[in-house]
Amino acid sequence: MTFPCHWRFTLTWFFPFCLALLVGGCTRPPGAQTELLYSTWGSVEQQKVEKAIAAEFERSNPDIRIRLLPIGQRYSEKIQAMMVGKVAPDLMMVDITQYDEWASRGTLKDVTDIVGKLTEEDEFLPVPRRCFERNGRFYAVPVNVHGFAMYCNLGALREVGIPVPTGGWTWDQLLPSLARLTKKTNPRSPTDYAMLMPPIDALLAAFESHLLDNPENPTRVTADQPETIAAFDFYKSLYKSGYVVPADVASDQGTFQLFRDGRVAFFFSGRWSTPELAGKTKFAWDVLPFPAGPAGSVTMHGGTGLAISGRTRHPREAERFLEFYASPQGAALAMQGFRSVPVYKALSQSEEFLNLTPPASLTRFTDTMKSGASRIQLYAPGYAELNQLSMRCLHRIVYRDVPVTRSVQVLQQDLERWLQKRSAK
Amino acid sequence: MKARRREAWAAIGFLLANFIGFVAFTLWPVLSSLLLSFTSWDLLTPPRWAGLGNFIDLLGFHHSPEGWKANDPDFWKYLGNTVFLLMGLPLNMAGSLGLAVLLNQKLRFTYVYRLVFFLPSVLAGVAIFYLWKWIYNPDYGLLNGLLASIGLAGPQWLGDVNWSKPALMLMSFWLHVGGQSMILYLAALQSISPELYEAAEIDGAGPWPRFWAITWPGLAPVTFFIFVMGIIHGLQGGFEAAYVMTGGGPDGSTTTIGYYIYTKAYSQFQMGYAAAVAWVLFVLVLGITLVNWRFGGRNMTV
Repeated sequence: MTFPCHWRFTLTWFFPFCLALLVGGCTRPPGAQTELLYSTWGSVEQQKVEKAIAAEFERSNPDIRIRLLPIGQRYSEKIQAMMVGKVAPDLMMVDITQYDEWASRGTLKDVTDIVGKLTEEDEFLPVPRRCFERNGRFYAVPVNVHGFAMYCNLGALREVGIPVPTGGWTWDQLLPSLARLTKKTNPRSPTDYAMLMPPIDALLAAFESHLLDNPENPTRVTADQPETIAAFDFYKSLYKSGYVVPADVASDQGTFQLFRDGRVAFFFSGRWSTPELAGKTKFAWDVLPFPAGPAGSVTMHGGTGLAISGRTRHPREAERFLEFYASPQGAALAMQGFRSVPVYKALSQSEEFLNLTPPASLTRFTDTMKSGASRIQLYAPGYAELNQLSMRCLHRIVYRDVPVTRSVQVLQQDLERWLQKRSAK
Repeated sequence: MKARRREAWAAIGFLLANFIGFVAFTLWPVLSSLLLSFTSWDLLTPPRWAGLGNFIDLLGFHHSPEGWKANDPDFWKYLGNTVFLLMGLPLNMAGSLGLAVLLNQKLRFTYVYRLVFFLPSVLAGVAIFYLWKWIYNPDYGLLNGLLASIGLAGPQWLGDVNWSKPALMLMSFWLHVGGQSMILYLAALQSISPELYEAAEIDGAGPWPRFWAITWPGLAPVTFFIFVMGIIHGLQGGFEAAYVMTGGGPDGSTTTIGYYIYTKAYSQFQMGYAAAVAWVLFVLVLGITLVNWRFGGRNMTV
């Protein structure tokens, strides 16, 4: 078989030349930077903090470049899609709601050794430790602790003559004030509505309701107790009162936007909402403890951790960034962005943190972690379904006017089936 | 002979590109989803064989102290929502037909009217849904503003279980009445011979008898086509509106089967179960279409 001249040229010179180019192009030149993809969520303000931390890290680690991947909405869905496509970011922020699902499936690297190293200098507060420790192991290093407090429009309260109690309100004390802060019941109210609905988890906690006998290792469903009925009943009366923002308006306008624009007097959130409000409101505001129920001022806690993908091609470099970001030095940088509460004991009680404003009463976020005032949000694998079932119970009550006792009875049955399935697995 | 063979190879070459695309992006995913529907798969760990488990969980019933209950009451509820939203189809078709008849008249600026009515169909869906979200805002939305101006208190359109579905149907009417159906009706109207109308007029038939005796039978094939396609799209639809406007709420009242598949797959990561729902939907669509063709489409050509 004979090839024409141009084929011979192609085979002898052209293909080897292309191959050489390809190989050359794929080879990493010596001294080149390693790029780490790091995914986060949050607003533009929060991204500024992330960029500042990454820049600080790059200054002392010139061989590594951090490429930020900000993901606006549906963070976990997008990250999970990336995990499936084997292109997950090298480093990723992990919310406690997703942590167990991912950690239990081996998608996150075990970082227990790093936690050990980091806590030699300053130990973690018990709440963030509990959020991320599973049988003595860590698959993400806690970098922020979420405690819900009540953001409060002081200007609106002053205008309608409601004094702010120093230790916060009980729900019973707060309820009579709400009518004065709602346009429908008080046309002279500076705000359209008094408040945004509080998270149901926190209300259940405030009413001392326990859906399961042992949340970490449940053996029995205890939803049909008077405490749960009282909590749902209270939620219903609050929603139907007309003093709170209807759900569709809240989802349409955004919760902190409604507060920022002065349309709502109270809303419930963590410190991460502070950057969105600092210097952007026309009124004075502060944070107060979550209103106290029969169980006192109890609030729910969650947290954010920083994790390394189990599939990263640069584990050493990723560990270096994680060690920097989650260190007391990184935490000090993050807290300057007004968004996080340090997870370190000494740092969270330091003047450096306590003197930061806004909000004026910054310690509310750390007070919530004192013993007896906190409950941890549990998101062990399979708990997403449990949350869904309790939300459904709530929706039946609020939207379909199903009697509370009946709806809680259905919740009890649904949870019993859920527990049965869970135990069978 | 050589030329014919070369031609055959060229034809195969051209067809192959399409065929490879079809196999890779349609046939393979469809067959994979069938296989997946018999597994339990959370995306992150390998699928586990579940046999008919997903279908039993989806379509089965269990006995409780209160009687027989569906294993997955959500599926039936969302199927009900999907069927309820389909009720808007005859209304949309009637609107499209009426509009087509009006736009078929010899009026000035007919082309402008046609353009105006067709405009919503060429706008991006997400933009439209956001627009309607604002229209339905209970506090300062356009609709409640109009109602307030005549002394009526508007409901919470998207926040009330009783109003959320009618609200979506109203939006769908606005969106579809001047769309593809109207264009099809308009084309069909123009294909009816004017002589038939002239003959009827000579016989003394008024506009109404002329419509029922000439126009309606003349439009029957197109009506049937629009109806069948409307049912197919309706059974598969509702996802975008639920995703953008309501999140499927309140209390699941705007969740359709399409949105349910999405939430099962991408929010709860139950891929196998989502695939099972998709296949049940496919069987349902196929069954209804076959029934339509068997009983409604006899002797009709489009």
